[in-house]
Amino acid sequence: MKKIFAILLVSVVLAFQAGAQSVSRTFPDARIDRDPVTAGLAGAGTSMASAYASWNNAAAAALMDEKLLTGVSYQLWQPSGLLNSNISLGGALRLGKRYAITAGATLEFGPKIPAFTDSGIPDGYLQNNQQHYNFGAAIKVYESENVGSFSIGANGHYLREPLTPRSRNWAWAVDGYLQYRRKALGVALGIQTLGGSYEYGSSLNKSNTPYNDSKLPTVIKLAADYTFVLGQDHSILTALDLNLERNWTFGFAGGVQYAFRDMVFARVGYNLGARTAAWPSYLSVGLGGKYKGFRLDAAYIATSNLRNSFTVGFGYSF
Amino acid sequence: MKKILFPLAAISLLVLSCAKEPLAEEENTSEGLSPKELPAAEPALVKGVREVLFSDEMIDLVEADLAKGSLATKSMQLNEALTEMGITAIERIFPYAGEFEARHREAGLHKWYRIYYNEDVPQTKAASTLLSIPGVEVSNPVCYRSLDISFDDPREKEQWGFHNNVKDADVNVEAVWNNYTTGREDVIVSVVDTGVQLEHPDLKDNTIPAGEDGSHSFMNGGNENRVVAGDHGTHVAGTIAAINNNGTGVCGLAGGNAKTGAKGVKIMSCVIFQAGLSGANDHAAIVWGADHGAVISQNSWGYNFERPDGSYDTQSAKAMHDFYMKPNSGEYRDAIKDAVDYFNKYAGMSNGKQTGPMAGGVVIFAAGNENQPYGAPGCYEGCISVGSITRDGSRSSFSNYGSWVDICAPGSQIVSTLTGGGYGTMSGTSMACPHVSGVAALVVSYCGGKGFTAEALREKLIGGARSISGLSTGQRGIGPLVDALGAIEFGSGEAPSPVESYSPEIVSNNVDFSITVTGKGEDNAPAYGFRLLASKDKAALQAADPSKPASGISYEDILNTDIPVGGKINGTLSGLDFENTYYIAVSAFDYGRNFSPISSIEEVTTGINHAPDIAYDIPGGRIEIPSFKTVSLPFTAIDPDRHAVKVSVSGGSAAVSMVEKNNSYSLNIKGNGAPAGTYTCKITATDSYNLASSSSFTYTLLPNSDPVVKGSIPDILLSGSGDVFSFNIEDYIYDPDGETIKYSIVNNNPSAVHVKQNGNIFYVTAMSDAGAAIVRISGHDSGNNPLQLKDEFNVLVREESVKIVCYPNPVLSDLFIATGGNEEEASIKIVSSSGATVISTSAVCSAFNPAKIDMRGCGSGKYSVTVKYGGGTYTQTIIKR
Repeated sequence: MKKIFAILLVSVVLAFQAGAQSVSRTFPDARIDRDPVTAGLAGAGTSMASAYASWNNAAAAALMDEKLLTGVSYQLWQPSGLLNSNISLGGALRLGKRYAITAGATLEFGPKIPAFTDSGIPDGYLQNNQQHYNFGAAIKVYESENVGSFSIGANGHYLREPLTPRSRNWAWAVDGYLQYRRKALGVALGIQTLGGSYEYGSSLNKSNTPYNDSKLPTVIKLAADYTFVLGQDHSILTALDLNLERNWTFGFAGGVQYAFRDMVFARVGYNLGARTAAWPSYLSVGLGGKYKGFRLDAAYIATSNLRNSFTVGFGYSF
Repeated sequence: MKKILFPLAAISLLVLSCAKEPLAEEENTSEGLSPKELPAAEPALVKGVREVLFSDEMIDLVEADLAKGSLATKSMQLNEALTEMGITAIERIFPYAGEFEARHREAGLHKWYRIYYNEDVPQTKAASTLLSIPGVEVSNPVCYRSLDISFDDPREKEQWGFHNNVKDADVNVEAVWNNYTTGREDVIVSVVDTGVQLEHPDLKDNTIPAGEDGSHSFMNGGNENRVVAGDHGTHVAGTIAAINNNGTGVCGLAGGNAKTGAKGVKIMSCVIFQAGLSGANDHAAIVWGADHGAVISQNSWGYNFERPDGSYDTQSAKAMHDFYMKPNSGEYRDAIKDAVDYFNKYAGMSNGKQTGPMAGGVVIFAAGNENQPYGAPGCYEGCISVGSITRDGSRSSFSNYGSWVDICAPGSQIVSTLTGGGYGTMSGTSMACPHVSGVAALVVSYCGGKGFTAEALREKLIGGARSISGLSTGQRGIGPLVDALGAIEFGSGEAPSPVESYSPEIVSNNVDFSITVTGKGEDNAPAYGFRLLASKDKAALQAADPSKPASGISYEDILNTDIPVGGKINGTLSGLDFENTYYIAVSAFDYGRNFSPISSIEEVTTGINHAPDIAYDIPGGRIEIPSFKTVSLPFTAIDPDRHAVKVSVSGGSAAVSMVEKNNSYSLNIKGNGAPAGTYTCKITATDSYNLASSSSFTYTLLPNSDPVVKGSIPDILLSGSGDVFSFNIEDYIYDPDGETIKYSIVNNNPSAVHVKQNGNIFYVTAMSDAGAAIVRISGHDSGNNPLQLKDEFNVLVREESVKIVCYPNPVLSDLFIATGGNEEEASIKIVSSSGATVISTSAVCSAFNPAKIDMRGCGSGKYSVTVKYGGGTYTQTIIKR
């Protein structure tokens, strides 16, 4: 067990290292949070199972209490005026007591982008609508009443972004997580969006060296969540995610959710990004409601370049 | 051999413009007016003569005395008038009428008298003086007589053969119409030709209908009282006798005058050509004319020697020509010759007595159109053969020629009548021939009568014709040009009346004459010209023959073209010696150069010679000329003695040139024609006696200053198609001399931007909603070292709503951010799609000086570029690849 873990760890580090010298921050959209619940927590809560587990931590689905989690969300993502709308559809299904599968897709809709020649003359328009397709699976590997439960899971991603007519404009990526849960505590450790690269045609790095591929925004994540129950009607969920980017920058996302009778939810979160991080620091808020398995959630980013971005979603679980 | 007509070429219309105005009609102010209504002004009345009607009592009193030629009568009042008015003669207007005197008296004609008196007595005084005499019932002035030649035939101006304003090559008929005759209806011309359209509107009054004694056809060897009209014969007839002054078509030489009722000659059509028929009896046609009253036989035809293959049988033509050149006897006897001889002998005659206007006839033939020295049968001595000339007085290219051609006439491009009541142009000796026939008809109309012979007509036609150099003689001669006036006046021998008044005035060495025109003959035709004579020897002048003045007598001729008898004609005798005493006189002459005795001699003294006057206007007395201008200075150089003047200019520099046009002068001084500086220009005028005068003035050629550059034309930002920006180039460059600088424009993208110059203003117009151009403007002045100004500016076109442009997009390395038209500080932030700020900076930039952002450190993907400047915030999405 320890040996397998060590081999996995080294492999992850090596893979993480590879390409660390090349330009990163390509296709950061692959890590945009489509889940309206975790979006309200500023992206924290990777260790929690959700309908959107196929985007990051499939292992959490193997340890979820529900049998099925589904959700659909609409997101208006506008970093500093860059308008993007997208619709996401996701689901997680527990098969028996040990297995789970995940799936999801995102379709992006953006306005036409005016093109210009080298001398500034209008040259038509570019269209850039991203597509994500995710599939995942997980398995519970250990369960003990005293110790808790462990599971491992992985997602595969097909990412498509036609930036320019000359680019190859698609890539494969995978996530891999180790999940632990015992009662109100959940912890996850994994690597996310590890995969190939996009080819955008001839690009230049800082030393004018041409390169044809751009690495995906891989991240090593350590996430945890704990729910404080305050009597019969109230509970407070805290979630914390620690991110280590390719360029060895750390990011932190933390959020708090108040729940009343597990029916009404209020959320707040903060993401702290390093100056060189792919994500800025921002404050998010969220609201939600749940009744007989149906739920409606919304999240809003109040600060930073992402100000006025919001996510609203509808879900069903049993 | 065949007979052919002699037309030539296709019909074409030739419009002649007549520069000469027809003679103005003389006003007859006496018609229908009572004595007291007669106007006092008399410029158009004959001076010194009035017509009076005596009463019965006065006639009884004075007739016998007057009949004896005495001016003193039994009427005391009339005698007093004699003295008061200076009466010189009193004569009956209607002379003693012999067997008709009784009915003349019954009509009162014997009471009309013409009274001649001192010309200095004004008409009004003469009128009142005569009317004051008891027994004078009417006192009328006498008007000038002339035939009306202002014919209203609309196509007369195309008939250059009658009046040629290109060259003196017409038949000179107008003077005959004006003073002698327009035709006479008892003069018959037989036209042996195609049929004449006898009912043509412009001919019908002057044609003889078909009939037993009239127009006739000789086709098919037969003898028909039927005329089928053809264009050729109709055209020929029109030249001879188209009705004049009927407001229709053309004129005819002897066509009469419809307005006055004067009849023209008569055309008898004798048909020997008709389409589709052959075998005409031309001999009989000629003879028919003689037997039926014609005295002129007009023949525009001859023998044809063209072979079927189109070649010309010169040998046969020469043989026939030689045959017809022989007398009509022996082996050379011929029926045509007999017919011609018959006509010449018997036309106008009956039983040996003259019954027509002329005893005998003339046969006139066209010479032919082969451009050959042969022409049968017209070369027969019994004929008058006629060659053809063009409007410029040269032989028509087609006209046959040789010493056998007796006379020539206009034959090229002749307008006349055609069938169908029409008109058209034909060319050929066929057209020349009727000109001679028409003139012959005029001569017979005027001179014809008892004792007038065909021989006399031939003499007048040939003798009165005028020679034209190169035409009349030589190998290709076609004889002299027929002249109607010359023919009428030939052999008359009568000179005009002597000049009585000529009012000389002295101008330097010239004598100006103002001559009262005299006339000649019963019709008092005005003199054709006047010879001005001067001599220092009075006796020599007195003895001089004006037609051949001796050496030592100076003379000049002036011709009278349109001034009637009694009118004034001016002329100058020039070139006399200065300050000398001369004796001067005048002699009148007619067309035939019959000179009158010289007038009274006057003594004059010529004056001195005066130098020419040079005059010009230079404001302020100075001329300063900028280098880019050319100044024109008009000046005059006039000789007060009217001598010819030669002008020369010494300009002082190469900048000066003189222009002369129609005796007007000007100096052109070109500002850059010589180095800058002050020069003197001298104008010299010299008269024909080498007396000169000069005048000088100074002029300054100013130096050229190069244009001055004040600033550079700024770059221009236009907001969308149709947006215009204008600027005054003088804000950036000007010329200290005030000269207009010439600019040229080079635009590297005319589809985006259009640049136009209007004076000093340049207009830059956007042709599309987006684009860019580089415009270069070059300019120079006219100086020897022209400044080559070149300024270049950028023009950018973008829609007004576009505040920033980030390019290129997609971007590979450097991203350029263009802002507004003016350079100002702009803050720039570039945010990734995850919201991370990847670039945050500021720069001073503009649309033409964009900020440059290095994007090589950014990963591929979408970015938002936010630019703040000018109080606004603007965003554009880019893609980094």
